[in-house]
Amino acid sequence: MSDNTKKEYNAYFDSIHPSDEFLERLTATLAEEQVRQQRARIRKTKQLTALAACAALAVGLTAALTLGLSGRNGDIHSDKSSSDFSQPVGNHAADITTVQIQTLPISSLDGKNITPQELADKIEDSLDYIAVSDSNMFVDSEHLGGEEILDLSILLSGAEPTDEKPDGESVYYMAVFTDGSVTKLTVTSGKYFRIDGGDGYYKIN
Amino acid sequence: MTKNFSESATFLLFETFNIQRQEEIALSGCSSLSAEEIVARYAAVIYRIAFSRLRNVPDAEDITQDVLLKYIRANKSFSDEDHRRKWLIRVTVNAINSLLGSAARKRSADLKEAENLPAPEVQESGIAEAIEKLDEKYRLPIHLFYFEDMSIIEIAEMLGCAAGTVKSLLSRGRSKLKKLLEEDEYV
Repeated sequence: MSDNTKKEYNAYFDSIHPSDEFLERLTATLAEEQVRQQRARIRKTKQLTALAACAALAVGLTAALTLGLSGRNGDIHSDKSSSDFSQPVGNHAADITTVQIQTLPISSLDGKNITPQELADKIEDSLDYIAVSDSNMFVDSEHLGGEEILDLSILLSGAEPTDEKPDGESVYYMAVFTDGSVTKLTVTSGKYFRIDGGDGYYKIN
Repeated sequence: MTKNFSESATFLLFETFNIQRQEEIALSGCSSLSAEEIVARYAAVIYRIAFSRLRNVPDAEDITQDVLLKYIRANKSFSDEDHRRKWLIRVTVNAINSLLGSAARKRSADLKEAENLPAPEVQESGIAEAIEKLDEKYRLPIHLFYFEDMSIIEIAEMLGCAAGTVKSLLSRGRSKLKKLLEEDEYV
């Protein structure tokens, strides 16, 4: 192909382009597909996060059960705040194979042993952080900021017990304190809440 | 002197930033580009390749849409812009081959011929008529070689044939095209 023919060929194809109408339709179709793909990716991430959380929970429970069982059977010295396990493992006691585990004093403050007022005081005195989520598994949770924490503690301190059984949408809060204790709250319809483990609901005034 | 140095440093910094930005765009998957950007960058390239082979606007549009949807769904990362372009061209060539091989296309081509649909709105010229008359098998190698500036080896990889075959297709295609253009001038 001579240079002229090549120039002519390229000039001809430079003049060929998709119509504006088609490009508009194409842009809309691709934008829709991008949204669909993004949603699918988010869904997949959420599923993986939930799966990882379940796996971590299962490992934690297994470890707790195993340690609990060996605690009953073995020779363990412990106090209220921590445990120091030091015992031979396996049949070859002569081998220097020992396990030393320090457990943290994690406890759960549930609705039976803490009132909303006490919880509000504890939030003001020794809060580490509060996680909030639409899911009770705390998937995609966020941490509350300073003002939101203050608002929550004010709402808690002014709440009163109620016999009502609300069934609206719920938001879940998990307060973690500096002493390692954890309390979970379920706020329903923005007006009622319940401290996990407790018997009834409180109404926010 | 100081001013010159300062200007050079600013220019260098700007160029470095530009290169980094281009590399970021090249390496990222399509999720970082908006639909408008994807269309602006790649729709015409794909459309022209499809049109060069199929000579049919609705089919070229279908191929363009299919290829770009595949691009979004694949969400692939590329080593550079050239890698991305070649991937898109390869997918386009595969889509064209798949369309040409499908029974549905053969049936719809017959129908279109029967309905005598209006010709696509393209620039009327001697070269357009010559390409139209050129045997289908020569169109794609010629387009990739001359318009997309691809090497014979790259075209051979794209088309899944030997480099010798591409050379021969290009050589025969060029002489046929030349002959058709001469006939056109003569007429």
